[in-house]
Amino acid sequence: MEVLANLAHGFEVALSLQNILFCLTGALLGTLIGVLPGIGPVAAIAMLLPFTFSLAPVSALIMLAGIYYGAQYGGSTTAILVNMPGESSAVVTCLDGYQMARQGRAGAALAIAAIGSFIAGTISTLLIAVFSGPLTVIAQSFGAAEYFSLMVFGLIAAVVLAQGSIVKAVAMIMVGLFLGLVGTDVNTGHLRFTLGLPELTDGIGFVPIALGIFGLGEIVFNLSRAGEDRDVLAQPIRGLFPTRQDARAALPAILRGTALGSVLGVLPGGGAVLSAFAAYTLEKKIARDPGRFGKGAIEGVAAPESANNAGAQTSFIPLLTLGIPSNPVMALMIGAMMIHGIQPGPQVMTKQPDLFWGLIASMWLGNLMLLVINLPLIGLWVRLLSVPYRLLFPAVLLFCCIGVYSVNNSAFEVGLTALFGLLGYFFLKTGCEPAPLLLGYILGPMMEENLRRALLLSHGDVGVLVTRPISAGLLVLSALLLVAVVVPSIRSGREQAFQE
Amino acid sequence: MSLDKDVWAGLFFMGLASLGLVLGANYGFGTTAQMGPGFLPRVLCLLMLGLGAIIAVTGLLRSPAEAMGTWGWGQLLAVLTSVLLFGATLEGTGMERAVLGAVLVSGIAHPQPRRFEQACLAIAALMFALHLTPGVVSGLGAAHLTGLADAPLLVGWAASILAVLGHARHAGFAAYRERIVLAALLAIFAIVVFIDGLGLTLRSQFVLDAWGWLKQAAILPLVRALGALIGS
Repeated sequence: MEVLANLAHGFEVALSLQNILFCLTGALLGTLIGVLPGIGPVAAIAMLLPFTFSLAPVSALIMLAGIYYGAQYGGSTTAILVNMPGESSAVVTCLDGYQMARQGRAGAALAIAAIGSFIAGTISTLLIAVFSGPLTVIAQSFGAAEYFSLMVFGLIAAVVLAQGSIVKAVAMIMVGLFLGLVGTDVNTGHLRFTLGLPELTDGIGFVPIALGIFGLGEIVFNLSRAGEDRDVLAQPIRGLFPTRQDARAALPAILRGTALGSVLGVLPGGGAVLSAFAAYTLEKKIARDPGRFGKGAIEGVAAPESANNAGAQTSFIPLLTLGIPSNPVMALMIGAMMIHGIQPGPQVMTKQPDLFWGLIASMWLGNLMLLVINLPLIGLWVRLLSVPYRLLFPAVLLFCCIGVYSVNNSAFEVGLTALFGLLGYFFLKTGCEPAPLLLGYILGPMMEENLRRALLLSHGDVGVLVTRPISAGLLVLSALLLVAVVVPSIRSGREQAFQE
Repeated sequence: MSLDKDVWAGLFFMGLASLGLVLGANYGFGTTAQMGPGFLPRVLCLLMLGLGAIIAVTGLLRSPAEAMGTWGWGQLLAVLTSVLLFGATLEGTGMERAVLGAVLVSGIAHPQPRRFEQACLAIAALMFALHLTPGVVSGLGAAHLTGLADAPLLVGWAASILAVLGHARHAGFAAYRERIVLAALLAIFAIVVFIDGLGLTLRSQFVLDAWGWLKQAAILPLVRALGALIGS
């Protein structure tokens, strides 16, 4: 019952007029950006992050979380209406959602997506509230060695579950770790890799990295293959309410998607994208008539949409209890917390109950707002879709510039962003997934500190990592994961899963 | 000859690792119990060097090679220049010039540019930035035009965005009046920016004072009137 009391406290925080307003603003901005083409949730959050620095920590995190699931929701709207996923977790929604729209059932598809997301959001918010308590207790018993191994496990799992070449992803983690090394060494005060630049004494800021690689890189990438203007669905959307038959088919799919998404979201590297893919595959497998999928099956919209929202929510669990990001969006949230002076980890729940429970309560509130506000606003979002990219990108670019500058009032960081933009484009061209880089960059300094502390306590005996049972278990698990991917039969299974 | 993209990626990783090894060559290594600042960098860079080599070699061995594809050099250059220009000019010359520069330069990046739209967009961005700055970018003493940021400007800002959007939808749009008013606004801003710069370069207090007075007395009402004209 303690959970209920805590949740009640959370709602008290979240329901303050100010926080409701920030939650609403976040959800609307997130949807707006999710609808606009070519800006993913990572770039969206990185872009708006600097504008939340002046807020109180609770309000800032509430708004950022709102942006995240708003972007998730906006991405599915474009997937259904124009067959263009606003962001990667909506790719599967295109398959059946767009077909439904072509059959004149766009309204029903949009409504089911919204209702499914809301149901998933409600259930997964409850899950977060119930499970974060016990997990926090476990996390508090962790020592430095366990933390180090946990982070290794997190990074490896993130690589294995992500798309693309594993060797390249591991190398990208290393680049991230390397970037994290730049600056003053905490233990000795020695300057590392600063090239004599005073601006780098505190390390490379994470806003320039995130905005450069995820924002600028993508803008250039989109521009260099521009030329195609998208045709928006011409026919007006009528009949937002799904028929009874639709609802009956969709409800079990929503519940299945929620369950799958909630589990996968907790895993490192999981989160929205993997959840959506897995949910679609599951629906197709258990359907009586798999042939309907890809031709406008409502389950093909309901399940992945619920799953990606559930996954997006439960990926907050490792962040809030362990202080470990499971995907790049969570890495940004950690960065935001650090800028507000909050050290992420199990102590957040006990030391800052307002922030912890307020954030959780606001998630449910945000989902409710998305449901209530967005369905009537569909017309507006559709109109936004027709904004051509040639008008969009200068505005986005400018927003990035002002945002980066305003973090530290530093023109140097604007220049740094350009450099990372170049890198980001290079990574896109060479097929290097940039997400592991961000995870490595955020986790790097924490890993180094914990490794040093663990080895200091063990008087330099590296064996401490494998003699303590939890630490050893986590390392063995990471090794098993890596081996598993190298074994050909499982690898082909993984490739297949991402192909579908 | 086109190399496989993994070769390029591998070379990049190896290059970064070598850079780390060279720069970190004299950081103290320490012992496992008392790690020096150079311990992890060196271990990490050696691992990265090895991994980069593996990636590069597998790329070389793969046939047929997966090429990187052509680079959008023009787009890359325009976008990066726009960002760098913003960073370089912001503190020296002030917000409005940095914003105008960034938006106009980035416009080059698009393969099919439309000058009218870009001009309108630049005005809209400028007005938006002027509304935004006092709240967001604190300590930025260079926003000369901040005094103009008021309600009629907001109307003008919204109107110029609408004009751009309308123009984008049917290329023939932008009725005569809007076009003329927007062109006038752009001209005024260009003049203001130019004279601001002139005053700064000359460092003449008289020019600055007289110009400040003129801005308040004549240009502000004019801009307001134009903004209201579009808004109506």
